[in-house]
This record gives sequence, structure tokens and C-alpha cells, in this order.
Amino acid sequence: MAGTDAVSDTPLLPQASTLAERVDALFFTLVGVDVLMVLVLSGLIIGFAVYYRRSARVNRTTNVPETKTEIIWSLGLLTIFLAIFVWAAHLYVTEENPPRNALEIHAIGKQWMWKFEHRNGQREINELHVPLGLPVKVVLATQDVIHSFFVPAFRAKQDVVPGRYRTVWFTPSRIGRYHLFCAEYCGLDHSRMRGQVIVMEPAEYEAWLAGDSGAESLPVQGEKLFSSLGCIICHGAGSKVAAPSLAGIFGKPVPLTGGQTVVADETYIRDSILMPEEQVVSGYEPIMPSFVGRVDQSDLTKLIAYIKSLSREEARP
Amino acid sequence: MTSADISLPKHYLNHDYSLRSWLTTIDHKRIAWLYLVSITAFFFFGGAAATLIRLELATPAGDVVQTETYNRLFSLHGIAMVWFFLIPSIPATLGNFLIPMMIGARDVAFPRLNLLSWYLYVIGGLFTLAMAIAGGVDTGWTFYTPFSSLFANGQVVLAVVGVIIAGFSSILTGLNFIVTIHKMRAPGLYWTRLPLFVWANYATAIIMVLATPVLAITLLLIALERIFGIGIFDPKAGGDPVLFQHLFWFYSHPAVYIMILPGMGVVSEIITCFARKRIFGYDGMAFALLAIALIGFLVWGHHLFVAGESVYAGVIFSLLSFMVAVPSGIKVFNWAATLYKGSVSLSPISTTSWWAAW
Repeated sequence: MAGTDAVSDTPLLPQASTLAERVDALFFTLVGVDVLMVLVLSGLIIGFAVYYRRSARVNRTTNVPETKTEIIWSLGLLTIFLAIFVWAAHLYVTEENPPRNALEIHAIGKQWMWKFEHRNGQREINELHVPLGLPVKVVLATQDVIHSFFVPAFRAKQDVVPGRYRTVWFTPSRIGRYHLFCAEYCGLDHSRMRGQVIVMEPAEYEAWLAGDSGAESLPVQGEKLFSSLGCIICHGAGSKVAAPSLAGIFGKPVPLTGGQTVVADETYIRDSILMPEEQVVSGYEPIMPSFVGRVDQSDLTKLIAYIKSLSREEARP
Repeated sequence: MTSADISLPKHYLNHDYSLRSWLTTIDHKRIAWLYLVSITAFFFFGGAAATLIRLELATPAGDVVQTETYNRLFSLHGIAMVWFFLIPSIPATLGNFLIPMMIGARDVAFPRLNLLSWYLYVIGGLFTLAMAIAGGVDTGWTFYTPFSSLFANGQVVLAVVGVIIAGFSSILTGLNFIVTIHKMRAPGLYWTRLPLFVWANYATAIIMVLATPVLAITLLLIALERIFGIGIFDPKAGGDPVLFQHLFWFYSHPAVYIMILPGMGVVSEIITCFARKRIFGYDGMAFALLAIALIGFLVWGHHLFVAGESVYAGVIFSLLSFMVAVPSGIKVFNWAATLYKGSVSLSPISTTSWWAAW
């Protein structure tokens, strides 16, 4: 890794996100507790073994209350473990819940590369540009097998599962280039499925984003697909076919025939495009055809971005 | 010399030297030897794959093997070591040999089933060898879907059939131990007097009998998915790839305890023997073995923290995983406490067991 593109390499793993320090604090505390336990136990084992060696003339009469002793150190261990659990669980819940105002970037993993699409349609492969200090939420999908989005410097890892959307979030806290790995074995060239995350000043990021993308934004591309695929015939305003309107549904609960309710998230919209007969909106007939084979993962991302943009417009006064 | 040979008393090893007598034996000690030999063979087989992996990793470039072979090597290494070495290692050898003697029984409860168990192990092993000769698999030992079911182009069906067959060997051994320990203890050998090695194998046997069928079903589903495309794990057919991980780890996490509990039994026996002292807190030690086996069934989700289980599931599985560490901690403290006021031999064997405890 020579040259100007060198990834930040420090002796210790760099802490490049706001969560990194918190993860490390927990990690090194655990290492510290472990080292302490190892020292105490090896001290006891070696100490007893030498002091009570067979040739030693020492007093061996004992009346230690065994059960009481066991209960005491079991409760001691339980207390330590519960304390670590509460700490770790708190961090885990934080890691799993992205802030509401996070910048959204779409990622698609496929054998063996990462494709990223920014809000305005700017795309990149195996490189991800992100702004410093702003929370970033990466919406992950995969075109084939399970992959895992892993940026060690951010202490952020999330598996990407076919048929579902997953999110991972981080707030970059240090300018630089950091490794991106696939952390779930995914076949032949898994070890080469890696890239770089480039953390830039927000202004630089905006400039980079605006630079010669030549692409239309994701919702605009999605809108074109919405017409060309014929979705608009049934779901468009003023359609005579009995199909639910999609304006404003994103993120809202949808009642289904059969009485359940689902939240219209990425996964639900994707499933409705590919398997429309599965979760039919209450009051409608299951007449929509499946679009399996007609749309790929990238098209789905665009269509979902378009449907999301409908909600945003709706939400505005 | 020659006349001394003739006068040797006959015992299980020298009453008949023929190969036939070994391959048709229903003597638990001889079966333990059969296992020891075949498990050692697989250990070297898996070890050879690991050696090639390490050689390849000596330099960044692919000079010993290329990517594809490398992936097949680590898969072979995992499959051979997990199912043909670690899982049967202690129960099938020391367990078969010692349990009947420790509880005062003539043999295990079902000697023929015991021999069948070894044959299943060997047949499963032959499938694994055939899989390796036919080109191997590149799925890793975990067979994660949909890679293993839809994308991998190796001998996945051969590989999973081999593991399923070896799994039945494990189930039969576990069944044999449970029945033997329940029904064939010598008069007066109450549960509260059972050697800890027997307790450890009893806890292990419960896991073998309850968890291994789930693995067999899961791997069978992979074979069916590959051959008939039934779609259990294929999201395009409405299946769920993460379901595979739940089922797989429902076996494979308890399998970790199949590997370690018998070892804990061995350490308990050696430390007490060489300290010339009863184990510290016998009841607690036996209880801890059962607790580990039981709670071990409820922690599989800690393999799925970032695989897409819900946050609630993640938190509960984390809590349960901390809980299972408590009985493990009790065991280690009790081993140390057993040395206290003991008469400790500093022989290599006992020092090795302290290292194991450590």
C-alpha cells in the first residue's frame, strides 16, 4: 500500500468513528479483567502447587465450607458479568439504532465488490466517500449471497442478507482512508472483496458529490423506471385499476388482508415488487404480477428511493 | 522371553490378534481403540490441510495454492477437525473405555450399537474423503446459505451426507452413555458419588442426543435445496437464509460444549488424583456441568449479532451467554481450590492439567 492512496496505518487500529472509542473502552476493560483473572488463577494454582507439594511438611487439615465458598464466588462472577452485560447491551442498542437525521447511502454487495449510490445518483465501486462529523446510514442489500460490511476503523460491522435490507451507521470522526472488508465468507474471491472508506471535510464531500457524476438522482431514475415498467398504470394518480396509492406510505404501517400490519420499509416494498401475492394490502385483490427477473437489485434501490421521495413530498406542508 | 509370552494372562488386547476380531468386536475397550486410531487418522488429515493453509499464508502471493484450492482446504480442515476429531475425540475414546469401568458395568448398555456407531463414523469419514478426492467444497465448515445451497459448485451434497452420517454415530454414542449411566451403575454408586468424568460425559451425551438431529435435518435441507430447489433458504422462493444460521448454531453452539465438557471431566479427575484430595465442591461441579449443557442450548443467537436478528433477540442471547459463563467460572475456581491443602505431585501430567484448567 504505497503512494498517496495509502490507507491510514497506525500500530493500533485507528479510531475513526464516534463509536470507536466506546467500543474500545469496553474491549480493553474486558481484556484488563481477563488479564487480572488469569493472574489471580495462575497465582493460586502455582502457589498452592508449590506450597502443598507432596514433599512439603505443612498442615493439610482443612474445614473450608465448600458450598458457602462456591456461592460467594458464583455471585461475585455473576455481578461482574451482569455489569459487563449492561454496559455491552447499552452499546449494542446504540449501534443498532441509526440517528434519524443520518445521511443515507445505498450499498449493494455482490460477488466480489461493493457498489455505492449516493443520494444524488453519484456512484462508486469499492470506494465510499463520507463526510466528517455527520452521521451516515448505509442501507445494505446484496445481489447474490451473504456479505458483511466491515470497517474496522469505525468498529462497524453488519451482515447483508439476500432478500432483506440491513442498515449500519457511523459518524466518521477522523479524516483519512480506512479499510472496508467483506467479513462474511462469500466464495472464490472473498478475500479480494475489499475497498476503502474515504472520510472528507463536509465541504469537500459536497464538492465531490456534485462533481462530474453525470447521473440523475436515485429518485429521478426510480421515477423513470416506475413509468417504463408500467407501475404507474395501476399505482399512478387517477388510475382506474384498484391498486393502493404509494404516496406517503413509506415508513407507515400498512394493514394487510388477514389482519396483520407491517411497516412499509425497504424490505416490504422490495417483497411487494418481487412477491406481490405474499403481503396484500387490506381491501385490495392480489392482481399485481411479480417483477422477478425484470428488475435487478440496482433497479429495486431506485424504485424504493422514488417511493421514499413520495413520502417526503407528502410530509412537507 | 518366549516362554514368558505363553504364560501371559489373556486380556482384551491379546486374546485374539486377527483383523476380523477387531472389526467385529463389541468390547467397549477395543471399540475405544478403533476410535482412537481412526480419529487420529482424521486429525492428521485435517492437520495436513491446515499445514498447506499455513504454508500458503507465509507470503501474500498465491504461491503454494491458488484462491480456489485455498478455500477448499480450509473447508476440508474445518469439516475434518470439527466432526471427525473434536466431537468424538474424548467421548468415543476415553468415554467408551472408562465409563463402564468407572461405574462398575461389564460394558456399555448396547455393545452392538456401539460398534455400529464406529462404523457410521467411518462411513461418514469415507464420504468426506470421497468429497475431498472429487474436488472438495468451498463452503467453509459452516455451510452458510444461500452460498452453499445455490452458489457453491463443489461436492456439497457429498460433504453434508458425510456429516449427517457421522452425526448419527454421535447420537448413538450419546444414547449408549445415557442408558449405561442410568441403568448400569454398580449397587451403591448413587448419582451423588458418580466420578466427575462420568458426569461430564453424561452432560455431553444429552447434548449429542438432543442437538445432533437438528444438524442432520438442517444439512438434509441443504441437500434437498441443491437437488430439488425446495426453497427453504432461498429468498427468491420466499425462503430465509438466516433460518439456516439459527438451525445450524442451535447444534453448533452446543457442539462447542460437546468438545469441552469431556475435557473438563478429564481435568477434574487428573487434578484430584495428583493432589490426593477430593474435588472441591463436588455437588457444584456436577451441577455446573449440567448447567453448562442446559444453558448452552439457549445461546446460539450470539453467533447472529450482526447477521440480522432483532435487537431484542441480540440482547437476550447476550445475557444468556454471560449466564453460561458462571458455571464455567465455578469449575475453574474449584480446580484451583482443590489444590489447596492437597498433597500435590509436580509430575508432567498434573502440570499439564493445571495448564488446561488455566
